[in-house]
Amino acid sequence: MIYVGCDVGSLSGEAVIIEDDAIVMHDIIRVRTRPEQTALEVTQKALAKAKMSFDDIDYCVSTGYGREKIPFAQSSISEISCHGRGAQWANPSVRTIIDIGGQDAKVIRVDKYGYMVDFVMNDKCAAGTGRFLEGMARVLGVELEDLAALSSGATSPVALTKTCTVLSQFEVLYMLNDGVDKINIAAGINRAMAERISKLAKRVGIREGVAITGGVAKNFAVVQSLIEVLGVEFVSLGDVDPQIVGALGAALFAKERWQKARQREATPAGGNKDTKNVCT
Amino acid sequence: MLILGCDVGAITTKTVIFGDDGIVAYDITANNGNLTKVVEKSVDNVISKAGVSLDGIDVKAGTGMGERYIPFDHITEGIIKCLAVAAHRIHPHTRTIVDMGGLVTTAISINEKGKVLEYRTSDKCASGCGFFLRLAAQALEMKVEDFGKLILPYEESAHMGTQCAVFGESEIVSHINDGVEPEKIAAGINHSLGRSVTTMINRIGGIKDIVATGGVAKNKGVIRAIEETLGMEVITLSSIDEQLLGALGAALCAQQRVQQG
Repeated sequence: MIYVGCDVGSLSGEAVIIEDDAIVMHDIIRVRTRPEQTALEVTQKALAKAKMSFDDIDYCVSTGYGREKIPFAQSSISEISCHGRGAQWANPSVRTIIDIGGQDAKVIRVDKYGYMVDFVMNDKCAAGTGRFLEGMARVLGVELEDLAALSSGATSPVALTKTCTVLSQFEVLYMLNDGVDKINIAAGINRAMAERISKLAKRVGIREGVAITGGVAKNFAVVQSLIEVLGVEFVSLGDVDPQIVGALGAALFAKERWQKARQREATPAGGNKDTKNVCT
Repeated sequence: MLILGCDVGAITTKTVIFGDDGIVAYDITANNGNLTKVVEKSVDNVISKAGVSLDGIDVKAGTGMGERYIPFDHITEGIIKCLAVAAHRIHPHTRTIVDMGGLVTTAISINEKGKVLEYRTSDKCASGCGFFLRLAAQALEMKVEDFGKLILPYEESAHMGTQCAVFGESEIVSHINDGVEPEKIAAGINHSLGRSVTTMINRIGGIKDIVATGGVAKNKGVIRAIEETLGMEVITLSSIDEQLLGALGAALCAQQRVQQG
């Protein structure tokens, strides 16, 4: 059986194909103009790589902020549930997930089954999201991908006094004006990012078994700063790309929903009262 | 006596030369590149307009968040006091000033003598600042000057759901993608700015006359939006460019200091 999870975020779209209990293929693209277009393209790309077509999909679940607009998905589930489910599948010891996306950041607590217990989210302010790093990279005149490497070897990271992304950009401009070393500025940017996330995490509380997901999880310098600020080590997600965890969770929910639908077909109406409702 | 007042703001530097009969010359220069060079350029512009040399200036004063980049000896004045003194001088009935600058919006209440009673400043978040208007204009491929002409009732304007300047930019793009007319989006931005400014005015219990200053005050759409939510008239000064109040205030404060010895 082929299940697909499709996660359409604000800056990128991801698709994950699973067959039975293994990831067959995944793909990540930058968002297109419309969420349905992003979903279609990224799913098509993943299917093509796996030498499959849309007809092969048994069940598809969409997630992410554009999830309601995906025509080929049978149902949609919030990305908070999907991140919990995906991360817990990748590593069963996971109890807390820090997800830093392009336009939001979430800290999600899950139980031992991967179901969400509590969460906190910032989607009101760009500080502590991918957009903050993007804005900072622009001011420093480097590519976003190069921002992490830039900070290595920093001797005295600068302190950014503003939280706001725009105000911080100007603060950095003044620093550049004053001849402050870019290496130390980059290190200060990572630190500011980590402190913002740490504040968010404290609101929901951190339980051992912390995983980091989302695009920013690939920025090793921010991850290192977070380890220092939070005082925790992150658990490994194995060979699962941290950016596809939401889509992976959606694919796992797709499998669950497909199986449940089959169960309902096999059971007469009113029967099988034991099935737990796990939809969120 | 000739006094030079220089206000180094977030996105522009303003310089005035103030003489016995008022403002002799002024200059507004965008902060592009090295700030010390920007200040030098603005000062050069204003002294050549006034036909004097820097040595011919009796008193020099500076204010604004980039004041430390002024490369010559000068008297330093706080921006809040500068705005209060300047607004009081030009419009003596001023009791509330709402200064909408490039990065910071400030609401100031002053007494009948121009003394600052209370103020609130939005220095934590860039929502609703001039810089955001500039970003928005870029996204809409419009001139920021044309924003002010776009006055539509709140109900007919595009809804701006986010306060964040960074997310606001994305929201504009998604409005464009949804086929919303740029005029409605621009009007929606004006209303959104107007609402956040109104909240600040209300926090300090703003009373009339309310005077708007700073670059954003040139946007009549925002002024109308504030008036609509506040239910009071907001005055824009016709005798002086709205952006010059800080620089003029610096000159006036310095003059007072020198005269008092």
